[in-house]
Amino acid sequence: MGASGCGLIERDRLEAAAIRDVLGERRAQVPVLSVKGGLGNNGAGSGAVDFIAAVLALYNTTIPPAINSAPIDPECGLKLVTGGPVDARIDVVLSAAYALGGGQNATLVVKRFHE
Amino acid sequence: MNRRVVITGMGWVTPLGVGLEAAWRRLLAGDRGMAPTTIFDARTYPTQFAAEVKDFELKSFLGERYEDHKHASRNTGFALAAAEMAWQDAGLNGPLGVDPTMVGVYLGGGEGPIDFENFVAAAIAGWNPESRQLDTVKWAEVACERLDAVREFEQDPNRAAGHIAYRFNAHGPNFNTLTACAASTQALGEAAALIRHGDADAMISGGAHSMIHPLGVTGFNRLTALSTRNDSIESASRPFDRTRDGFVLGEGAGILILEEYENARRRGARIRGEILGYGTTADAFRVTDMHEEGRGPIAAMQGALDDAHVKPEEIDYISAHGTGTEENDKTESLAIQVVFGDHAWRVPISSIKSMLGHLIAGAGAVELITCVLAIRDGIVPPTINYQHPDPNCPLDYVPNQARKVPVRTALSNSFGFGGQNNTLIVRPCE
Repeated sequence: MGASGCGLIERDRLEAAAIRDVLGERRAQVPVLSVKGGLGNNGAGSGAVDFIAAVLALYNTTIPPAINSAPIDPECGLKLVTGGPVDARIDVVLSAAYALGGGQNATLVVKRFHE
Repeated sequence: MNRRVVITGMGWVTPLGVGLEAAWRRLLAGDRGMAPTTIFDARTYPTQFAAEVKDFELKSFLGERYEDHKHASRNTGFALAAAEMAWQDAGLNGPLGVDPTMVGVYLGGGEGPIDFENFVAAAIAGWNPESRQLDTVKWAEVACERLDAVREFEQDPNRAAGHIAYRFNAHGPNFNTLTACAASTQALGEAAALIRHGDADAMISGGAHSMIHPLGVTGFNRLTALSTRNDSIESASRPFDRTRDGFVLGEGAGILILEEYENARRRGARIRGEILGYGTTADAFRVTDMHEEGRGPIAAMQGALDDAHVKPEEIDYISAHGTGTEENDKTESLAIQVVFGDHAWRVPISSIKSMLGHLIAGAGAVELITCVLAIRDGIVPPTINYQHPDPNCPLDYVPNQARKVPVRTALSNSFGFGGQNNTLIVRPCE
């Protein structure tokens, strides 16, 4: 799960709750990717940049860590990848982008390509 | 999926007034909205006039709901008011009768006006006259103290789409396109495509803009895009006239309610017209100039005709982009001749920018509404201030007087600075 994770307390908690909702029983197993800790928020460009990170994670079967995010806010309660990169055989990634103002929400799903 | 898309509601805020019928009557009368600029003191500019929206009060449109939107910037306020009118016009006093996630918003809009005074106050505080440089540390000290968070927030271009979604409970696709003068025509075309393909059942679409602010006027004056006829303000906007010297900046909004045909029929909506075709292209050329052979506009008009399965001869009226710049009017006239052949000489073409000025991102939506009203009433608005024929613009621009002529199918053009070209075709729903 590629999070939008902008680093604002309330917004991150809301997003985490939404992710837990969508993942349901798998909420404790699905690793969560967040790159804004390292890259900052690229504004209108961040959705595409975060999505490229998601594609690279999928392609390389390695999830980069959310730096500066350990320990994770207990109220977020996600399996956020922190500390160092994690090797994981991932086949499908959902990448999210949420507008800070205006309330626009967009998500993309990318899947490992098979002939 | 290829579903039919119909127009069930329309509203606008224009320099000739806000009511649909009142402003339409003034357009047919050849009235004009230009006057000396009052939004800010423009007396030292090369262009000291504009077509402003007068006496606009958002509260009078929103009533009790005004509290939720009271911080909206000027352009967002125009969009909300026009949307409110369009919603009423569509007979939607209650909900639309479809899943709210299938109701979306697609606007063409731009920036809101910046907090110019406080921005400049911060710049003055940070100005070092000895080094003649801006000390950004001092600038930031004042800026962080004086600039208002909400006002800064509300000037971003996506706000109008967010406000409208909130007001009308539209949980579906929510977009804003920033393609300048082409934006609201593009928004309407893309909104129609979402309905056609089954991604939405209804869309609140159109555009809003106000660039009558110091940076907007400075930019356009530096580009020499604006008319500088300060001594003849009312006849300054002269589309297709040989003596044209640029456009006049206007402001306002046009919003349309688009619905999937079957759903609109089921709920007994009054159908004002059908979006039949849409073309969208890029010049793919220097971003400061139109391609001299008009290849982008030609392809946009051709694309819309192909999309609509309509022959050029079937077009009864063209609402021109017709800005009144030397380049646009020449290139657009050429492109119309290429696409329409002999019919180019017969089809009435007019530019309401001669009366309203150029609403930039809001222009296309207002012009599409004009097309729908022209079809309804069998009368096309004039291009006013047309006195001197230009050999480069040899077509029938409906000079100075509205003309009674049956219109079944109308085509509306919008071309953006930057090379985006968009065309829509409308017809009564048959």
